[in-house]
Amino acid sequence: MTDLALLAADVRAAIRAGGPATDADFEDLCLAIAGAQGRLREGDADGLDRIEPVPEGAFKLMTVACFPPSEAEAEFRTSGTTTGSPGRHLVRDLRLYRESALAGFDRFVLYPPRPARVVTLIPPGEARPSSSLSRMVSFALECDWALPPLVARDGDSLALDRLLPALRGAGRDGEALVILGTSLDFLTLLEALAAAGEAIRLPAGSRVMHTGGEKASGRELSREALAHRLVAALGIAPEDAVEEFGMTELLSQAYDAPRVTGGGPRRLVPVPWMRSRVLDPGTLAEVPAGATGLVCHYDLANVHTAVAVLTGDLATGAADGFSDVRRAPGAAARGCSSEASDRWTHSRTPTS
Amino acid sequence: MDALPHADELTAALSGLAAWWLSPGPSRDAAVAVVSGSTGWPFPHAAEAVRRAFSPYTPRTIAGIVRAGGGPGPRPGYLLAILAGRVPAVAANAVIRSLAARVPVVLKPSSAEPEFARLLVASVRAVAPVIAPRVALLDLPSSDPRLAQAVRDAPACLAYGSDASVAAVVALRPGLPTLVGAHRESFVLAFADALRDGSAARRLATAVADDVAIYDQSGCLSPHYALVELGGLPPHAFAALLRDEMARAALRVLPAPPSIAEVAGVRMFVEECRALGGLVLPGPAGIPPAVVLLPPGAPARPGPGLRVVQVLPFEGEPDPDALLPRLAGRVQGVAVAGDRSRAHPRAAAAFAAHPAHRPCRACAPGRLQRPPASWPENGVVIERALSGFRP
Repeated sequence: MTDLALLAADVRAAIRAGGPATDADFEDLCLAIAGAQGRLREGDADGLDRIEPVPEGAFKLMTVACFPPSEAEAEFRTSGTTTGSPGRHLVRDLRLYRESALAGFDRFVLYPPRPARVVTLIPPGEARPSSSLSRMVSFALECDWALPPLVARDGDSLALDRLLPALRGAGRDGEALVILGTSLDFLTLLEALAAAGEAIRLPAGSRVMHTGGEKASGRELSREALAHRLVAALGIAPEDAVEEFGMTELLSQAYDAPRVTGGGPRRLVPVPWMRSRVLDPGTLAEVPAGATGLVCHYDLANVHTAVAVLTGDLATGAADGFSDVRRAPGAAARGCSSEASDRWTHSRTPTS
Repeated sequence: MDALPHADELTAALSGLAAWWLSPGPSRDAAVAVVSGSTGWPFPHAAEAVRRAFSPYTPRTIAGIVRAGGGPGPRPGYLLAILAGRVPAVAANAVIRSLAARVPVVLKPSSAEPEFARLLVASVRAVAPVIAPRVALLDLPSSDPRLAQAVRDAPACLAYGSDASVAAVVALRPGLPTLVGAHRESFVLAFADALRDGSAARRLATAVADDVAIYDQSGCLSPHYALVELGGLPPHAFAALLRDEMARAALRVLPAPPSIAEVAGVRMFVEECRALGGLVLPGPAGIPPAVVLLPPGAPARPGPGLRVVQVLPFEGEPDPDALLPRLAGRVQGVAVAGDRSRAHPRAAAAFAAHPAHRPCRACAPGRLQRPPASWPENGVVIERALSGFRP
C-alpha cells in the first residue's frame, strides 16, 4: 500500500472512532498527510502552521490530486457563482467521503430523539452527480429510517404537491422529520407556506438542516433570519434549526447544532476529524477567538487531495469553530478608473 | 458660462492655483488632511499625491499648454469630466488642461474619493477667482437621474471609470464627443543590462518600488508587473531586491491601512500564485506588500493592487502578448530599464511587433508616476483634443 493508502486507513479509523483521540493525534495525522502530499513548509513553524494550505481557488486553476485523475471515483464541481469559473474536486475514494459525511450527519443532525423520516428538498446525487451536497444527501437517504425517505424535488423545482402533504401528515401522525435543504429551497418553502396562509406544527424532535446556496440567487436571506422564519413556520425549536457548512473542496463538514455543540453563541463547529482555524490574512497566524480572518480547514478526509484548504471566507474565530461567515469581497479596485461600489452604472446594470 | 480670460490672465490664474496646492500652509494643509481622511493615505502620502498632481504645472509648462490649447478650432461649450479613482492628478489635469483649451469644465467627483474634486473647485474660487465662473461641480450621487441627463446634455465629456461605466456614458450620448479613460495598467520592461550587477539591480528595484508605492498602486501609471530579461541578476534575486526596496518605500510613502477584506483578497491571490508554482515574497510584516515571481513563460494574473508586483522572466525578445494578454489595448505606461542605446530600440521593436501593448507613456523606472504636464493620458492630449473639437 502507498503512504496515502495507509494514511487513508488511519483516517477511516479515526472517523469510526469519532475523531482522533487527542489534539496531538489529530495534528500528527494531519502533518503526516501533509507530508505525504508534499505540503509541509521548510522552516521553524510548529504544528499545523507547518502545513502550506492550498487556496480554494487552486481547485479552479489546476488539478489538485495526489493520484492519477483517471483513478477518481467522482468529480465534484463548484458552481462558479462567486468567481464565474467552476472548480473541481477529484474524489479518489467515495467510501471515505460517505463515512465522513454520514458520521458528521449522524452526530450533528441525527442527535436523539432520532427522527423517523428524512425529507430532502435537495436533489440527490443521481440527479446531480457533480454536486458534493447532492451526493451527501444520497448517503443520508440510505440511512436506516423508520419511514421511507421523501425526495421533494422535481428537477429544478420543489415538489410542493408531495412536500406539503408530508409536512401536514407528520404533524398529524406525530412522526418527527428531518428536512434537508439549501437556504434557497427553504425560502421557496416559506414563500409557499405564506402564500397558502399555512403554518405547520411539526412534532417534537423534528429539525431542519439548512445549508448555503443563497449566493447569487437575488433572494439573499441571512442565516439568522432564515432560521427564525423556519422556526416560526414549521413549529420547531430554535435549537433544531441546524446549519450545515460544506464546501466542494472538502470531504468533511461543520455544523451549527446547539443541541450537540452546547451553549454560547451560535457557531459552526467542524466534525472531530476536521479543524477550522481562522487566520490573519496578512500573516496566516491564527487569530484569537472573537477576531476576524480567513478560514482554513484541515480536513483529514482530504487525504488524497489537499489536507489544508485556505478559503476565501472571512469569519469570526471561536474556541471550537467559527461564525459569521461571509465571502471576502476581494481586493481593492485599482487604476485611475476604479470606482467605489456605488458606481453609477448600478442603476442600469444590476449585479448578479 | 462666460468666455475665458486672455491667455496671460489664464496662465497666471492656473499658475496661482497650482502654486497654492504646492505651498504648504494652513488652508492647503487642511485640504490635504481632508484628502488623507478620504483616501486613507496618511497625511504625508496624501500631501505627496497632491504635490504630484500639481508639480508638473509650473508657470512655464502652463504657458505652454495654454498656447497649445489656444488653437483656432471650434470648442465645445463646456466639458463634463466624470472622475473616478483616488488619484488627485486626474481632477487637476481635467481642470487645468480643459481651461487651457479655453473650455469651461464641470467636475463630477469620483465616487471612490469625492473630496478632492470638491476642494479643487473651492480652491479655484478662493485663489483663482478669474476662472471660477468656468469651473463647476456636479456633485450628484451616481444613481441620481439628473446625472444621466447631464451626461446626455454635455457638449463634450471626459469619462473615467470601469469599462461598464464608460460604456454607459458613451451609450447615453450617441454622436457626441466623449474622451474615455477606461481601465488601464502599467508595467516595467527590464532588459538584462539593467540587472547586470547587484547595484544596478538595486537602483532599478528602488525606482520600481517608488512607482509602486505612490497611491498604493491605485493609479493607471502604477506598475503591477515587471518583465525581467534572463541573463542578468537571476529573477529570484531581483524579486528579493524589489521586495526589500518596496519595504523601504513603505517607510517613505506610508500606505493606507488596508481593510481585512482587502488583505484577504491579496492573500488569496498570492496563495493561488504559489499553488501555480510562483515564488511569493511577502513584506517584513506580512502581506501586503508582496512580490510574486511567476514561473518562466507563465502569463501574469489579474493583480490585486495594494503594492503587489508580479515579476515575469523572459528570454529573447519580450512578448507582451503572451506575458500580459489581459493588457492588450490597456497599457497606460511602460518603464523601460536598460542601457538606453540598446533597450530603447528593443522596446520600440517589441511594441511595433505587439501594437496592442503599445503604451501611452514610456519612460525610465521611477518616472512613471511623474508624467509631464501634457502627457497623452489614455492616448489623448486633452487640451489639443478640445481645441480641435468638431461639433
